[in-house]
Amino acid sequence: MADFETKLRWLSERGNPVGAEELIERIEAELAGDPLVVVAKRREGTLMTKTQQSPTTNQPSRSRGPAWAVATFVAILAVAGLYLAFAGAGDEVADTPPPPTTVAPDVETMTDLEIIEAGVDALYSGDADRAVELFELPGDDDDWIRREAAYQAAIGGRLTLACTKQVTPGVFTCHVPYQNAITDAINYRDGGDTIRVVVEGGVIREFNFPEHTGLLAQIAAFLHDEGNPACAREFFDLFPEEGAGPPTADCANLILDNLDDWAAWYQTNS
Amino acid sequence: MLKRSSIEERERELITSLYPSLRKIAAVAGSVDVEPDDLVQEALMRRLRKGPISDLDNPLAFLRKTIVNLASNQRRSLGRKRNALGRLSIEEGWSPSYPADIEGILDLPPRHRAILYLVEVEDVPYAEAAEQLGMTTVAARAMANRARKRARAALEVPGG
Repeated sequence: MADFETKLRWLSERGNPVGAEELIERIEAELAGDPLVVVAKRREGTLMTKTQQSPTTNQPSRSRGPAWAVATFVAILAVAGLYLAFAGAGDEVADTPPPPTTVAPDVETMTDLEIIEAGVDALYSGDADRAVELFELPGDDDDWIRREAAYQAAIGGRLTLACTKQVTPGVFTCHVPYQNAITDAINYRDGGDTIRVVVEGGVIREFNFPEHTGLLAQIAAFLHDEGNPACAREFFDLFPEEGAGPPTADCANLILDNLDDWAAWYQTNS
Repeated sequence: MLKRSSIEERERELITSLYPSLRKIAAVAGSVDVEPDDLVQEALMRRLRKGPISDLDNPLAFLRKTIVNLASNQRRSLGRKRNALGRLSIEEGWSPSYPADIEGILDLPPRHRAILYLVEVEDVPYAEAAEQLGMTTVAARAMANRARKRARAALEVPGG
């Protein structure tokens, strides 16, 4: 038997199988609507997220009965009553600034899926501080995350996120179609990569930001042809051995200023 | 009262019978840092969201093809992180959890590993192996030859 056959046989037996029964149980749990699936869509500048289960309760939504409906109704009445009471209290209350409508939740109370959602939301909306809190990727320091957030915000990066929990705790497989101004200009629709995402200790430890590698080479060629070798290098050097990172917001803005030219160049040269 | 399962008994039996074969191809095609069971679960989930596995003409072929495609996607998506992770591993003195002499095989793309495993280890005919990987028989034969050459060359390298 050839040596590589022995090695292939060893490879096929690696790891500790969980067994068919446990796998079926996990699949059933997922199909039953446990919080294993999350879909996040960015619309009109905001990342809209939707989970199959309320993040604040351990009860599946399908189990909510009449009591839940009554409780909700009572809660709505109570809120309405409080509002009327404050509204009638005069100018003093009216001048009080409203409480913030969104508060960054504490990662200790968030599920792994919510952490992924929040991290993606922060990064693709340009909230660099929040992104730095939630991403701790080997090889990418805080500055790298800040630059990625700045670039994505500038270039109009939009990520559609659909994650499935895997057998290993904290490990997810996520389908991540990605669009930005560069793709929009040429009507390119990304089919989406499937990436592995790992959440550990309340932070995202593995997440490969999707890129359109073919288009990056072309946008670099376009920028070079347009007489901007510095920006061309930023896009062409996204995958070097050392030192590179996301393109700067300046180069992203340069592209935004020349989207029509880019589309025309692409039609001619692609 | 017995709890009603969301997966019908017929489907459960089919998954149970396919599981060993699916896990093996996942273990061969997947990256070593990915649990083979994760790949199997993902492939099954993708199918079950669309319909019963028993509706498929050849469930084993369909699911193995899905697993190899998932493994290929994961390998591609490593992208620019691969170099950084590699450097970090060296700096931190990380040691792999697999024999050093397996690296020659791991350098092969998932599809190459899968075809080699199917025809050399499981003795699957080329036509069937091709179906399981979603390619023509001629392409499967050519890929297996390339994979064989690459594997032998890698394993002939001292320490490889």
